[in-house]
Amino acid sequence: MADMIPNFIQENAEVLANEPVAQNVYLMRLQAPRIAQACKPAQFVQIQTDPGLAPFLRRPFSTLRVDTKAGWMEILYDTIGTGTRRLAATNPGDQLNLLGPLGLPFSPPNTERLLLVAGGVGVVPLAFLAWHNPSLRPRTIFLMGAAGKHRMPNMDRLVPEDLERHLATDDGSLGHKGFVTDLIAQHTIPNQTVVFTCGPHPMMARVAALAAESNLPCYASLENHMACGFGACVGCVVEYREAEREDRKYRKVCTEGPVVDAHAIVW
Amino acid sequence: MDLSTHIGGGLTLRNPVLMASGTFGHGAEYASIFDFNRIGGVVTKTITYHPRAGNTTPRTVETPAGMLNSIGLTNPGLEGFLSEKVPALRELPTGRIVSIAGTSNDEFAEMAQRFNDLPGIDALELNISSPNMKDGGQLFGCNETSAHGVTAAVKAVSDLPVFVKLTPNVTDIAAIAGAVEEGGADGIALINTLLGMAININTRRPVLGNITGGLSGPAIKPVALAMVWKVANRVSVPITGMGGIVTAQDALEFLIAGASAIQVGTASFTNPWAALEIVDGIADYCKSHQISNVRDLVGTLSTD
Repeated sequence: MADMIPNFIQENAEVLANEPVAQNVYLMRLQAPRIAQACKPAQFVQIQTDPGLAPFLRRPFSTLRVDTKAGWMEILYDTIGTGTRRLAATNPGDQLNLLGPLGLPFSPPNTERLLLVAGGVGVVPLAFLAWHNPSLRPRTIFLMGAAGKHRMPNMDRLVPEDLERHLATDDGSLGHKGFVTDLIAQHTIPNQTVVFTCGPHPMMARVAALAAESNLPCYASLENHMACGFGACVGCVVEYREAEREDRKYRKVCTEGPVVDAHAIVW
Repeated sequence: MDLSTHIGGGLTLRNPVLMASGTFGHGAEYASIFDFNRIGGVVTKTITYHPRAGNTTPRTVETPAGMLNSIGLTNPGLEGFLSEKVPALRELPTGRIVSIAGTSNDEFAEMAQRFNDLPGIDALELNISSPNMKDGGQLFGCNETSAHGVTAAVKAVSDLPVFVKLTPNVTDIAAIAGAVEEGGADGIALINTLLGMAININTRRPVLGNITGGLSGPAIKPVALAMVWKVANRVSVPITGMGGIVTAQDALEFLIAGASAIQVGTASFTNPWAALEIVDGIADYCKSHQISNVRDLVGTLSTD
């Protein structure tokens, strides 16, 4: 059996808004009705940040939120390299070429409760899940960490207001002083909870370890450098603890993720 | 207008544009987004005798006008490929070429033999040029004697057209091409990636987990073009050219230099439909230059 890559499309999107929401962090709204219509939580788009050859490759961005009626989608990004600096320099009215939606959609297995643990722009796939599933929100706790207040976007703009939320900052300028993972210990997590995390690699590793200690299922939305985003280059792989055959030792983040069972991979 | 082309061993393709090995899976994965009726052929990701996990991460890094990769030939192995990939591959309405890599002449030959009575597989491409395979790959392609030997070993047992894909990481690629032709190759494909490297100056560590990797993309196009031209002046079997082809203009340059067909590789990563746009661009060029048969364009470079 060949593993069929699900349908995705190319769409020229108009930038509707592109605003800083924290230091070096931008919220971009794109008019992309066809991709917005199809996009589900955890799926991402590959954006050509420059029509020329510099940078040569597209950049992957997870979807924060869509409005299928209005036809827009939003991404949130940290400006850390050439591609994201290009994006930061775009203005409303500019056009960007998108491929998407890419990756597998994620919905948590039937669960009583959901614990979302985000670090920085890792909030994105968790927020989309919350926007997409209103019925889950009363049973969800959302924990969010950032370096400091200056790096913490106003959560009212990113996540639904009916979500129970707790913040942490490394420097204590907002919320708990310390890591977001400290907040997990401060809450009594019921047995029926599913943990879903996205953020810096060491943070997700810690979340996975804490979930394992409590025997809770844990899913992580991974990011990686990608050449293609649709399974062709085999560059964005993650190592699994166990594989049924040698060629399954590494699996693609793009087409077999980006959400993975956090207990199955090598952190 | 006739876009069909002969790439060796009696194999005729509907047009001179193929998907390069290692850049489009085994083809069939993309049947929902890609019209295989509109391209000349697809070359599968390289198959080895045993399943391979591939190299450690990171495996790719962007470089100016291109990228480095050290994927390491991740593949399900010969048996896995035959049972899991071939059934869908053989149904694709295009030229179906299987890329194989062995660790010895005998292993190459044993693999090649397995495709003899397999309807729906049109040719073999011998990968003797991967910079990411420590126990074979480029080792065969860097030396005239070994390149000749592996070609002859496969030709002795294979019923299919056999193409040999060459590495640019050699002193004289035309000499290797000559040896491969003498070994009985039905066609020659070039170039594979150029050995390259990137370093993180903050950690003073290599960016790639494998330390070195293969450079591809537009950055290597002029190198590839010169090598195709040199090889075209040396051999009489058809040449399939590749290396940094992104646009129809790039493809036409390779045809004029002497390639009977071209392969699109890294360009598919940024635009999976690049190959189809190249086919259309070649057709437009032929129309506007009153070329009724694309084969009339091959090797027409004038150096007077």
